[in-house]
Amino acid sequence: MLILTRKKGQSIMLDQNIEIHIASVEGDQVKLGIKAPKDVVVLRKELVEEIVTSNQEAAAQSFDIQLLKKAKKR
Amino acid sequence: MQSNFSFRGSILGFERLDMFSFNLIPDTAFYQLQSLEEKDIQFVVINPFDWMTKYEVELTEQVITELELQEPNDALVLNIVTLRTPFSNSTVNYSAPLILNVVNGRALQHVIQGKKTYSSRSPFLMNFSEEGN
Repeated sequence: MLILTRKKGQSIMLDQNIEIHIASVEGDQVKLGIKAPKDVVVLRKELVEEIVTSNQEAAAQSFDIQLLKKAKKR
Repeated sequence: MQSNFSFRGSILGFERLDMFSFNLIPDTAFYQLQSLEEKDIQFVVINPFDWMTKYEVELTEQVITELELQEPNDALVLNIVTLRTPFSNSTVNYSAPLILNVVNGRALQHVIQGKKTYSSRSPFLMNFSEEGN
């Protein structure tokens, strides 16, 4: 992994169109500003991991159609 | 409406998969998304508005651009169900809906962020009894 040292107010660029700006540093919290094109999805990693787990649980199953038939809409 | 949808790797954890077929599971309120590339991969999904009175998904610019959505009515919102034992413990992922453009067959999984969020493990079956009708 590439490690860079930056100060508050400085930025790094990913390619020429994504900017990650160090907005503030307080204790163990860093506030980042991210400027990216609209088609770039920016997500917190723990949220991605939660959805990956949920998707994998959901995909790895067979279902009992009789139970599905009994489940009624609201 | 299209019956095959191109997710282009947007289903998190299944980046290798693109095409899925979308069908109603007969005589139920559930739908099936079946991978056309790996036959063991399928998702049971619901239309959230069948099960929940109030559910909001903002169609962000990223979603609109990616799906080339012309109007909101072209978007079909679905949520992945995780079936559990007992069945009444099954949950639905309201935090990362699937959004399908029914006109051009493009689709993606969209993770809701911001002030209004939902659980990825919401109970959704109310008053379900395995003995019941």
